[in-house]
Amino acid sequence: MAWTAGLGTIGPSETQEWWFSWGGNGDVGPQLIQAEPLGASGELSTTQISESLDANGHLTYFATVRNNGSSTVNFQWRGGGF
Amino acid sequence: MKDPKEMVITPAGPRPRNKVHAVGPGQIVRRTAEGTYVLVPETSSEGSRKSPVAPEELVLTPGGLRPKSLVHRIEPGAILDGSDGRYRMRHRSGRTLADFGVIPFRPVGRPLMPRNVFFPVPAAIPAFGSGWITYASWSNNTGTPVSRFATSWVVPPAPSTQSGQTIFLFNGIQNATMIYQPVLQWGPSGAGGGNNWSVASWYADGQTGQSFYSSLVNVNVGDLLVGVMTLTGQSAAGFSYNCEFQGIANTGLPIQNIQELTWCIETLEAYSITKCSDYPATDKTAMAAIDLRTGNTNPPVVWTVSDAVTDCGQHTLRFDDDALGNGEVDLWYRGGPFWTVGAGTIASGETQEWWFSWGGVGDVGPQLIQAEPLNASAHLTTTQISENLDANGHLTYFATVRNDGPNTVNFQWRGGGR
Repeated sequence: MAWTAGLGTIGPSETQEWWFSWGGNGDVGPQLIQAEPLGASGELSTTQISESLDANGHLTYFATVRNNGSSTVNFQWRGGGF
Repeated sequence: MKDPKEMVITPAGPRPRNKVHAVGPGQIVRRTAEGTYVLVPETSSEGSRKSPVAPEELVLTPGGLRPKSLVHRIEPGAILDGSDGRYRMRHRSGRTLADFGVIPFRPVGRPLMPRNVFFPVPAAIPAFGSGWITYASWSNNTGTPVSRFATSWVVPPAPSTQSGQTIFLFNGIQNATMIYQPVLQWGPSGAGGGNNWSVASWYADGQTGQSFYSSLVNVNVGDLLVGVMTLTGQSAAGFSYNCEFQGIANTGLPIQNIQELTWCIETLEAYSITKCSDYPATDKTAMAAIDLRTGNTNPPVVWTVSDAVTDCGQHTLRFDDDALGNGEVDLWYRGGPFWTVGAGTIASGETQEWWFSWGGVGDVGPQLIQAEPLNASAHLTTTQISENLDANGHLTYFATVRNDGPNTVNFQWRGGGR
């Protein structure tokens, strides 16, 4: 199931880590998560995806985006699983 | 003359010749109130009248079919007592309300279930698997008795088709002789029930033995259940426990003066399934918030998964190995949308590369592969996924995980493609 979330802004060479949380125990299986630039000449690289299990038994997903372009751009996250 | 202790082979394995008996035409095997077996004529005579002895009705219980006469309801407020080698229902005052006969004991060392599930299926009828379908187990070898074993789960949606099936979901503790379990039930059993969800506590032997249950109480889809077994006493006479669904009246089934219960399980059990839609209309049930204590501590618990029947893709997945209030295993009624493999351990700051290989040329298309932590306070990052084509034309996948958390943790890999 594909999903879209978040609305961010990221400067040139900047790196940001975002978290993604679902209900219940948070487990929605393996997730492909990518940052999508919303402005022209945006070049965003999703550098890593993590899963984190907290002390309450809740699974949270993390993704890190780096702006490899020369301009500040707006972006959103898109993802999906199986 | 043949040696009565000579070992002979039977369908149930080797045993002394004097324990193997031929049942002649016109004879039946009858279990006595003492728990022994005798051969009696198929017809009994009272005076000159002969009346046939009807085969005894079998009823379904957790653990399979057994004669109705061996299935007993324990009244609310009563206690099942196993002292002096007999089962008796006692009033709280100690007064005996019923005597169920001697307790059979099996050799120690192996859990009662699922070896002793009994549910014959006519060979002519194509049948889906029955009995213990999929389960997770953990054996307490800590040297300290299990003092509490609680699990929370949500009553799942009803099955979308009704075929006379019975489904049991429970956490439980067993030894070589008996199993103790708070059971969520769909369909009929020896305790009653039908096409609705209901709960009761059970204490049961295998097919030839007795089964005891509390009152059966209806519950609703979406209800949060907390099945709890608690050690309430320990003496020279044995161990005493209580089993109940927390907050649901009359589901308690206290027992006293029995053998220690050591094997813990989270189980999906089913009978008379004719199609996959006979299972609940959801993918899985999360057996969550597992609180397993030995004495006053929570021991490290790593569940062993067994997928005995997979005709609908049923399987069990570990989700959280921490039994301190949030351990969880998931019982899946059907195949998962992604694959799960591996069981690893990774230290804080460590990086590991794993490989994944499929049959044939190994090419299963692009694969999303991620490491899933199984312990709390874990943060695992899958840093890269690679494909490697060897000289034989075989494609192998690789993935690298890094532990960015503060602790050594267990993990598994999950993935999938299109």
